[in-house]
Amino acid sequence: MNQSQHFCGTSAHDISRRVFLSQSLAVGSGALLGTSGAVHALDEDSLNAALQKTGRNVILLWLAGGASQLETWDPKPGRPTGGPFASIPTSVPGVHFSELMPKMAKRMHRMTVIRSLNTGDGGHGTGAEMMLRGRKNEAAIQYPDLGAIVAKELGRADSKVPGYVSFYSQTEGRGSGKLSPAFLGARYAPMNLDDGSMPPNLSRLEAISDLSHQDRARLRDLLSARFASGRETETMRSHSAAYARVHGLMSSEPLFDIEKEPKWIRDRYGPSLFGQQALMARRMIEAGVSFVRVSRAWWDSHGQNFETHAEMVPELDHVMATLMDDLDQRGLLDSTLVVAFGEFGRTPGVNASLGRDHFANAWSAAMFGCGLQAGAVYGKTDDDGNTVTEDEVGAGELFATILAAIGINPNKEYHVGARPIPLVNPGIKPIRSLLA
Amino acid sequence: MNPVAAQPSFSASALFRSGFSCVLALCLQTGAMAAEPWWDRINPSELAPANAAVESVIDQYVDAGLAKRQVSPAPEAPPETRLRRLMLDLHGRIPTMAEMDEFLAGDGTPESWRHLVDRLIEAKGFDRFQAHELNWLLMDGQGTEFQKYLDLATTERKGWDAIFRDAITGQADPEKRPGVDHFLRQRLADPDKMANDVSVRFFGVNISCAQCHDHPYVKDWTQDTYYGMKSFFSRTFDNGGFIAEREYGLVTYKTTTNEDKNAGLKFFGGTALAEPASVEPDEDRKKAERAQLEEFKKNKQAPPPATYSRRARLIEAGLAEDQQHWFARAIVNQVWHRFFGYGLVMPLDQMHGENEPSHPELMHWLARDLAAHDYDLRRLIRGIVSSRAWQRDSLWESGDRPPLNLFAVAHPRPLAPRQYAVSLKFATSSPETFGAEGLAPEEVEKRIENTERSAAGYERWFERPGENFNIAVEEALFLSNSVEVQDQLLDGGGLMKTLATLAKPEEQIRLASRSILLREPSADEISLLSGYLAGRSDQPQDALRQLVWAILSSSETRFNY
Repeated sequence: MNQSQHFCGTSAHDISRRVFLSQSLAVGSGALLGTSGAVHALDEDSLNAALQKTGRNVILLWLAGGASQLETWDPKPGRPTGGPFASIPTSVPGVHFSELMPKMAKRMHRMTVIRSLNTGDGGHGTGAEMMLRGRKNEAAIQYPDLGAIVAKELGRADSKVPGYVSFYSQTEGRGSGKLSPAFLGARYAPMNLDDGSMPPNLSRLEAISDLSHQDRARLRDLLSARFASGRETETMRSHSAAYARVHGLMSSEPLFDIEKEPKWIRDRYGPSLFGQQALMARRMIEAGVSFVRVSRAWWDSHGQNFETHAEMVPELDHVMATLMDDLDQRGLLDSTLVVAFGEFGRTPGVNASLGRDHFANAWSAAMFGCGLQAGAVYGKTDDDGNTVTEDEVGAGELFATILAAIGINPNKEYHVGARPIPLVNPGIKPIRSLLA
Repeated sequence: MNPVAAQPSFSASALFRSGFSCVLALCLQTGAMAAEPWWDRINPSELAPANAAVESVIDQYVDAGLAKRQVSPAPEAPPETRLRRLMLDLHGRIPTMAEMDEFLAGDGTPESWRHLVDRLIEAKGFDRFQAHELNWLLMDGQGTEFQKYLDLATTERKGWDAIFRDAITGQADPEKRPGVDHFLRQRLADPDKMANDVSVRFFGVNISCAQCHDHPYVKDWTQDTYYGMKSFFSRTFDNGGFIAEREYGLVTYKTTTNEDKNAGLKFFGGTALAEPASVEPDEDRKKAERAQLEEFKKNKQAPPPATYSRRARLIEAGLAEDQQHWFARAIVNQVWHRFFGYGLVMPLDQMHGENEPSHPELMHWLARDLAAHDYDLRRLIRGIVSSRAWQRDSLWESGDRPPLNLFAVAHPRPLAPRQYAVSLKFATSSPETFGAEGLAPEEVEKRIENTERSAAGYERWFERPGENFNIAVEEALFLSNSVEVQDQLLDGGGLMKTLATLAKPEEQIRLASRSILLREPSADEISLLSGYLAGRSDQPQDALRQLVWAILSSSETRFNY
C-alpha cells in the first residue's frame, strides 16, 4: 500500500483518516485484527533516516506508586508545600535537588530533568497504563508499551537474549503496572522476573539431550503449522512464536546469574534488591537486551510521606548514581538511556496523615544517557508546585522524546489490518530542545 | 484534606481508582447519539415465537445475517471435533478415548446429539466446570470462598437471578450459602470498585466514565447514574467478618462545575428511586450504635439486617419487569462469548443502548427467553451447543475469513488454564484408566474427578485468555523444560507406558494421536511421524517420548477449534 495516498502529515488528512477508521472499525474490530496477516511497519521519511541509530537500549526505573517530585527533583523548601527537607545545589549552577539526593546532585551536569509533566491521570491503573504507553488505550485498541516498541525497533532478530525484561519483585501495584505488547504480539512481551532473578524453566533437563530437544521442537512446529493452515488466528501465531524463542532464551542462562559479577561491583550497587536488579539490568544491556524495566515499589505515601521518602529516595539516589558511573566506565552511557518515573507524582499539599496523595498535574521525570542534552532542566512549576508555569509536557511528549533519543522515529506507523497506528498519537512531538 | 484548595488532587479513596478508561473511541465507532436505545427499535411481535426452540432461533437469526452479507457458512465440523469442542466447553476437558469411541459408534443424528448434550449437562462434570467459569466471571477466579458458594449453587441448579440475589444480599450460611459474602467482602474497601464491578459483571455496562463527567455520548449516563449506582453500596460495611448495612448516609460528589451534590438512588437509565428519608443520627445515637456493633463483633454475631436495605433495592430494581433486560442481556452475551469466542455485543462491558449487537433480534429473544425460564443458564447453553452455528467447522480455506460477528465459521479459541491443564493430564493418561473393560460408571467418574484435581498445579503456568490474547514464552518454557511435564506427563503418564508395549510405529502413532488429539492421524501425519521415529531408531524410547511431547505441545492441543 502506498502510504502517501493516505497520509501526508497534514491535520486535514488526520481527520479524514479517522473517519475512514471509524467506518472500517464499525465492521467489527475483531475482523480487522483477526484477518491481518502481520503488523507492517512503514517508515515515514519526515525524519532524517540518519537519526536511526542501532545498538541503543533503555533502562526504565519504574517508581511504582508515584514518587514525590518535591522530595526529589523539584524541591520547594520553605514553602507551605515544601515539607521538612532542605534543598541542595547541584553541579549545574542554579539547579537544586532535594537534600535526599546528594549523589545525583553531583551528577546533574550529566542528566536531564523534566519538571513540567502534566499527565492528568491520577489513577494507579490508568496512570500507569498511560505513562507506559504514552497514551491511553482505546476501547477498540490496546497500545503496546514502551519496552515492547523498543524491543521491536531496536532488538536484533537473531538475538539469543530476550529483547525485553521486567523486574517487579514487590507485589504492590504489580497488577496496575502491567505491560503488554498488544498488537505487536507476544514476541515483544517482557520476560517477567517477578519472583527472582532466574527465569523458571530456562535450563534443559538432564533427561533430554540437546539434540532431542531441538528435534522435537521442529516436529512440534511442523504439526502446528499443518493444524494452523486454514484456521490461523493471532493467538495461534503467538503460540508458535513463543516456542520459536525457547532455544535462544535457554542459551542466555548465564545472563541471569548475578554471581557472575565480581563481588566488588555487586557491593557498589549496594545490598538492596533494587540495586542488585539495576546491576542485572546493566548486565543485560551489555549482553544485548534492548529494554529492561526495574521496578521499585511502593511510593504511594498517602500517610507518612516524609518517612517513606527519607527511606526510599537515598536508595534511588545511590542506585541511579552507581548505574550512571558503571555504564559510563563501560562505555555504555553513549548507547543507553536511563529514565526514571512512575505513574504520577504527589500532591504539593500535605494531608492530615502527613501524606501526599496522587498528583499528575505538575510533576517530574529524570533521565540520563544517550541522545539527550546533558545538564538540562526543562519546564517549571509555580512556587508551591501546584501548577506547571512553563513548557508543559504530557505523557505523549515524554514518550516521543524517549523514542527520539534512542533513534526511533516517533511518527513511524504500524499497521494493524488496514488501520495505521503511529507510535505516538497524531500531533504529539518530542521535546526538540532536549535532544542531543 | 488537602490544604491547597484550587488544585485538582486525587485522594486515595476516591477518584480514578477503577482502572477503567473512557469509551469515547467506541462511541465514535458505533454511531453515537442515536435517538433511542437499539432495543426500543425492536418490535416484539415480529420476533420469533416465544415457544420456539432456542437452537432454531439462533440459527434463524444467524442464517439471516449470513444471507444478508451473502456469506455461505463453513460446513458442520467432523464428529471428532464436535465432541472435543462439546466436552471442553461443557466439562472443561477433552473427552476420553472411550467417550470418543462411544460417540463415533452412535448414529450421528441430531436427536442423539441432543441426548448427549442433555446427559452431559446433567452430569457432575458440568457443574464443576460451570462453577469454575462463573467464579472467573464474578471473581476473576480469585479466592476459594465464593467458589464454595458457586459449587453449591450450581449443583442445586440455581438460576442466574438467584445467584445475583445471593451475591448482593451477601448473607452466608454454612449449609445453604457458604462463602457467599465474599463477593461483597472482597470489594467493601472500595465502593467505586464495587459499583463498577456490579455494573460490569451483572449488567454488562461500564459506567466508570461517568464517575468524573457525564458520558459524552450515551446521553442517559450522567454523573447521577454513576453515583446512583454507587449509592446502593455506600451504606454497606464489614463488622467483624459479617456484612452489615446502615440505614442512613448519602453519597455526595462534585460535578464538573464544582458543585456539591447528593446522589439519589438510581438504576441506569431509570429515574431516581423513592426510598425512606434517611436521618443522620446524632452523636449519642452513633455512640450507641458503635457499642452495639462492638458487642456483635465480640460475640461473633451477624448484626441484624437493616430494615430498609439499599442493596435489596438494587436486587428489586435490577430484576424489575421493565428493567431486567439489562441483567438478562449481560449474561446472554457472556455465555455466548464463552461458547463462540466472540460476543453478540463487543466489548462485553459496553452493552449500552447505542452499541447495537451484531444480531439485535437474537439478543432480544435470548434475553427474553432466559428471563422467562428462571434464568436457567443450562437452557441457554443447551440451545447454543445444539445450534448449527455452534457446530460449524473452524477451517476456512478459500478467501478471507468472514468477520467474527457473522459466526460463519468456528473461531479457534485458546483453552482456559483449567481446560488446558486438565486436558494435558487426560491426554497422557493410560487408555485403561477410563476405558478398561468392566469399569463401573461410578468408578470412571471418580477417576475423572481425581484426574481433574491432579492437574490443578499446572494452571498457574497458563494465562486466562482475554482480548487480543498472546501466549507467553513462559508457557512454552514450562512445556519445554519443566520437571512436571517431564516426570508427570511424559514419563509418569500412563500413555507412555502403553505406547512402549506396542510393537509397530504406526500403532504407536495412532494411539498417541487418538489419546491426545482424539482423532486418527492422517496418512501424511503417519508418514511424517514414522519418519521421525525411524530417524531415531537408536533410542526408540526417547524418540517416542519426544513424539508425544511434540503432539502434546502443538497448537491443536492448545486450542478449542
